[in-house]
Amino acid sequence: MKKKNVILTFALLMCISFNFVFASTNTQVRTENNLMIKPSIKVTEKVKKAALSTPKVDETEKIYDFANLFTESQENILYNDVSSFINEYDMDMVIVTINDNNKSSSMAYADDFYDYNYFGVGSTNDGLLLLIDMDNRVVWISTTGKAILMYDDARIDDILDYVQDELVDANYYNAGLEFISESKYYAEKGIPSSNSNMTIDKDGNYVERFDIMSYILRVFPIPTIITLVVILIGVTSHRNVKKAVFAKEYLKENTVRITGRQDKFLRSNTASYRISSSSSGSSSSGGSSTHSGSSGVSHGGGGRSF
Amino acid sequence: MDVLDHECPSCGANIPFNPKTQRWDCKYCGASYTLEDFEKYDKELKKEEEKDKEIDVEMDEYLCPNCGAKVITDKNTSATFCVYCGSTNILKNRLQGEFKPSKVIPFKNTKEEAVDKFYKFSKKKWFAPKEFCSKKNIKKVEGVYIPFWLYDCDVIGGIVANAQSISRWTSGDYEYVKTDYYLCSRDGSMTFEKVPVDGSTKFQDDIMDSIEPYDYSEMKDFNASYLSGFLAEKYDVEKDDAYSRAKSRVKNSAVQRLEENIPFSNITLASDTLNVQKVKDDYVLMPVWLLNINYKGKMQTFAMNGQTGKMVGNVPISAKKLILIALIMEVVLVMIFTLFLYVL
Repeated sequence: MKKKNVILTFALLMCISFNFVFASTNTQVRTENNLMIKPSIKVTEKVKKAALSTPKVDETEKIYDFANLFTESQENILYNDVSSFINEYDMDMVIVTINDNNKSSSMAYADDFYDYNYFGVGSTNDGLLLLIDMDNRVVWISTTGKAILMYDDARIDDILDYVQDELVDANYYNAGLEFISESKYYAEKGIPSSNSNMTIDKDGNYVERFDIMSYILRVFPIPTIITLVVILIGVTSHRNVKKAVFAKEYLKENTVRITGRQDKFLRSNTASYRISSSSSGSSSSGGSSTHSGSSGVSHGGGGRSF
Repeated sequence: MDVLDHECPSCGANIPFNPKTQRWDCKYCGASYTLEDFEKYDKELKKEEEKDKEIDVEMDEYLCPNCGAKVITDKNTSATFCVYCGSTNILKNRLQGEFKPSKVIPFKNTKEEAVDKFYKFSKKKWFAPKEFCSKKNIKKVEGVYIPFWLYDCDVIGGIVANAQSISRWTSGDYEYVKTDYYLCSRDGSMTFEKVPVDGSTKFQDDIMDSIEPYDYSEMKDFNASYLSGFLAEKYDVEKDDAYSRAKSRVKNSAVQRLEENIPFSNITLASDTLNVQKVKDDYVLMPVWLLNINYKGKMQTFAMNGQTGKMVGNVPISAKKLILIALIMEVVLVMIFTLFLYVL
C-alpha cells in the first residue's frame, strides 16, 4: 500500500514535471487589482475584461504551444530560431497555438495576447506574432510597431502562403519554421518601398512620415495663391485714377432700338479629350493595413483559414 | 474789369455759398439768402453797372472791389480770392458770352469734409504708409468749379462680330467640346445723354474721369452767386476738341451694348458702321475739391467729387507693409491648412 502510494506520487510528480518541460504553458493568474499589463496601456473596463481573459505568460519563452502541436525538441528548435531572429532584427517574435479561442476572432486573440503580455522591443513594442488557432482553423500574423512597416500587406500575404501550405497538411512545426525563415528573409530586405513614406509614431500608430518636401507641396500652394490674389486686389485698390473709356452710365436704356439682328452659322468644330482616370487615389502602392486592438495599440498583419 | 463781389445785401460783407444749407449765409450779420433773393438784388445793381462798361477784357489782373489792390490771376480763372484781403472775387466777364455756363452743380460738401474724407480714404487702403495717412500732408485744399462739356449723342448703325457657342459633354472616357462659330450682326440706335468731358487743360483728364459720375438731377441753372467762396475756371478746350473724347467713349459703349444682344460667348468685333452724332452740347461747372498732398517731397493730387463725395487719388504702397501683410497672411493660412490636413 505504502509502495503503491509512493509510485503514484512519483508518477504524478513525473506527470507534472513532464508537462512543465514539454508544453511550457505555465501561466500566472491575473486579478482585477493586478492585471499585469504594460503600464503604457490605459486601464478601462474594456481593457480589464480583455486582459483578464488573456493568459499571462512568461514573455521569455516565446513559444506558447497551448494546443500541443509541437514536440519538445521541435519547440526547442523553434525557440532557438526565434531567439536568433530577435537578436538580429530588433523585433520580438512570438508563436502561439491554441485549441480554444475565448475571444471574438483569431485577430483579437493574437492582438490581445501580444498586448497584454510584456512583448515587444523598444518603446513601440516592435514585434510580430504567429497564432495558429485550431478552434477557428485560422492562422493569423499580428505585427506591432516597426514590424508593421517591415511587413506590408504583400509580405504578410507571401508569408501566409508558405505557412498555410504547411498547415493544410497539418505540418505545424514546418509552418512555424516557414514563418520564422520568411520573416527573416523580409527583415533582411529592409522596409519595403510601399512603406517608404510611412512611419510609426511614438504611440505605435502607423502614420505618414513627415516629409518637409511633401508637406510644402501639399500645404503651401493654396495659401500662396490666396495671398497673391488678396495682395493683387489690395494693390489695385490703391490705383483708382484711370481714364474713362466707356460711357455706359450715360446711355438712356429706353432709347435702345435693335433694328436688325442676324446670326449666321459658319461652322462647327468638335474636340475630344480623354478624361484622365486618376480618381482620388488614396493609397497608391499597397502599404500596410492596420487596425487597433482592445488595448488601443495599432497592429498590422493578416490571416487565412486552413 | 467787372468783378462781381458777393456782398451781403444788408450789411455789405462778403457772403460765400454754404454747401450745407445750399444758401448764402452772412457770417457777420447772420442774414441768409436764397437764389431768388440774390437775383432780385442783382437786377437792381445791373442797371447802375451798365452805365460804365468794361473795355479791357483779356487782362490777367483786376482790381479787388473790396480793398482796391491789383490782383493777378490765371487767365482762365473766373472766381478766386483776393490775395490781400481774402475776399471772394468773381470775374464776371469770364463768365459771359460764350463762357457763360448754362448749368452748375453747387458744392454739397465742405472743405472739412474733404480733408476728413482724404484721411479716411487713405487709411482704408491696406498698404498705405502710416505717415501718408495724415492730415498734415495736405498742403492745400481748394474747392474748384471745373468747366465740363456735356454732350448728348445719338448713335446709329451696326456691328459685325464673330462669336462662339460652346457645349461640353462626356461620353465614356472622353470629354467632348463642341464649338459652333457664328458671324453675328446687330443694327440699332441709342442715345447717350450728358457725357462729361473736362474742359480745362489745367486738370488731369484721368482724375476728372475718375470722380464721375455726378448726379445731374441736382444741376441748377447757372448763377454766378454759386461761385462765391470757391475758385472757378473757364474752359480752354474748345467744345469740338473735347468732343472726340466723348465720341470714343460713346462708341465703345454702343458697341458693348449691341454685343450684349448676341446670345453667344467669345465675342470679337469684326467691323462696325456706327455713326455717333452730337445732338447737343452744354457748358457746365462741376464742383471738385482738389487736395494737394505733399508726401516725401513729392506733390500729388487727390480730388473729391464736390457733390457725391467720391474721393480719387493713388495712395502710395508701402513695400514694408505689403510684405508684412503678405507674410502674416501666408503664415496664418499655412497654419490653418496644416491644422486641417494633418491634425484633423
